[in-house]
Amino acid sequence: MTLELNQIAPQVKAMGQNLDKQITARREAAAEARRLLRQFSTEFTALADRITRAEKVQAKQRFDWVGAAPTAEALAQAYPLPPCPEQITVIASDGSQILPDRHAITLYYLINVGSIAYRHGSLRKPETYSPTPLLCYDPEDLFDAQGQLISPGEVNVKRDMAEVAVLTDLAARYAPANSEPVVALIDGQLTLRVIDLPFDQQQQRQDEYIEMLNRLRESGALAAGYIDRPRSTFVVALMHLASLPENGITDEALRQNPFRHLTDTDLFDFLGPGERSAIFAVKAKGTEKYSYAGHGIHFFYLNVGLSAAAPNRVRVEIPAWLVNNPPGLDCLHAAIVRQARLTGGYPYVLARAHELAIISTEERQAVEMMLAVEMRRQGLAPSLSAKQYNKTLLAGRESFRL
Amino acid sequence: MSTALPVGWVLRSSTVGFAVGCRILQPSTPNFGDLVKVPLPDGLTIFGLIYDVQVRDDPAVRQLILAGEMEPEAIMDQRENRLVPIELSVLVVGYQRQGQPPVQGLPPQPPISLDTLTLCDEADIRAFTQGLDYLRLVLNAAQIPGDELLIANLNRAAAVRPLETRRQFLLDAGRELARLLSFDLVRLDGILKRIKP
Repeated sequence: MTLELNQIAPQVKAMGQNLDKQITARREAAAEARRLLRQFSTEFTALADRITRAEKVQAKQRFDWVGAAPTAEALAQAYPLPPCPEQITVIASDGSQILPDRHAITLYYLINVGSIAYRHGSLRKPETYSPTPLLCYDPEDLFDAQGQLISPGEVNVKRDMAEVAVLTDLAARYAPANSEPVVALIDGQLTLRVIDLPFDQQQQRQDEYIEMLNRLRESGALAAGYIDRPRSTFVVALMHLASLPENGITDEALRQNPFRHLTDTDLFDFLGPGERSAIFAVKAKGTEKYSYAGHGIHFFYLNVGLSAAAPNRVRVEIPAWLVNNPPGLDCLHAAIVRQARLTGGYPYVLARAHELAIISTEERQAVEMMLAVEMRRQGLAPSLSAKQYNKTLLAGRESFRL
Repeated sequence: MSTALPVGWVLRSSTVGFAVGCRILQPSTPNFGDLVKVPLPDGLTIFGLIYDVQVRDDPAVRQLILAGEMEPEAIMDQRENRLVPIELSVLVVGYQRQGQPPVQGLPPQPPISLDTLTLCDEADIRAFTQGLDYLRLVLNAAQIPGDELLIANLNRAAAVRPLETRRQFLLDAGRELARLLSFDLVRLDGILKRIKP
């Protein structure tokens, strides 16, 4: 049975009306949040006091206050696009994976990473690198001590680690050899998402990841995480605090956030093409290790749009050591805008790294065919689960019957 | 001159023609009218003429054009690193069994997917164009620019011959065309004017 569109039509109509109402409410909330941003633009002490108070309140409830903390830059100011060095190298990596599937012919997972080094002003073709894909099939790779199959979250962590390992290698190769600056871009946040891992592995993976960030810093590369269409609310949370009197910051008040439908990008509509916001520090649980290692997570919003009529505000995460390097920060700012303008809104190197990494449906089918042939050669009888086989048939695709 | 490097791989085929995918800007990417060959594993070599070269649409390139901030490095990346699909269409005009002279006619079997296309070298062109029976195949082929194809091919075949035999080759080709197009003098005239020695 296919989706009965006629039954959805009335719901779609109601949804449209609801969206219209939401937009009005959101516009009013955004105006108020922006007013607070201007009012507290340089009120760093008042904001710091409120953050301290919120952290204490949340600690009593065994929570961490999550939000943004100001640095030394005025919050409501736009920081103009600096000139980009004529010669600058931008490197990026991205990864893709085939997750283990218990309905497939055998259990395995595969990680593929693509990377690229683009040397602006070199008149040379960019260099692409694709390390050997990692095919994992050993029981030790697939199962934990309790016999549980590795989760998608754990595979994603391995992929993220592989991406940054390749980027670190590239940075070590390019940064010391070049007199020109080298910018290293990660697709997504700068921190490793370890929440899906068992606790002991969280610590271990985070340590390994921070070690790679150490190497990235030592190489001299200007590292950043690029988040397209961000939904984060760090600055919104800060403005919520700003809206409360200091002695009114209670657990109850923190839960009653009038700006809950906003995202940070709603606050930075004043950023013109190429302009960035002030730099903020991230206040969140799980980032302490990064701070201890000197990689305390900071961010700014950046309008990479080509024209005022078509803004495209993205979030750029940077480590603390880059915040303390204003010329490096300017290079990073200018290089990201230059890269994004090549494609009309997204860094060229990230788009290409993704293209090099992505595993298409056809490629996945080819891998499974190779596996099936090899299994046959070894005298095994590969077969899909009955469920998968029937799904394949009903989806109208050809399946390889073995 | 050695031109044994593969310039593309067969995408789809039939007895009368096939399509070949190749990458842009290879030094040996063939031109319209060139004689090409596809060696098959059983020792048969199929000969054909390139009658169309298409640069396929690519959404990424379209996006770069729209953004309008092109840099030479990005152009080089698109052309040299990315697999920008170029499709060559080939009209089959003959075949050759190992150790035997070429036959100008349709082969017993077409090439199959991923067979390798190479450009014919000058010796291949001279050997194949010893006979001119393939002109009939080209003139009878539907939905291809047959006249332009013959003009390009005959001029190329003449150019790889020694000066003293070049004129005679074109005269022989002209006579064969006059025989084949005796019912269509306007068309014949159009071709002869452009292969005039």
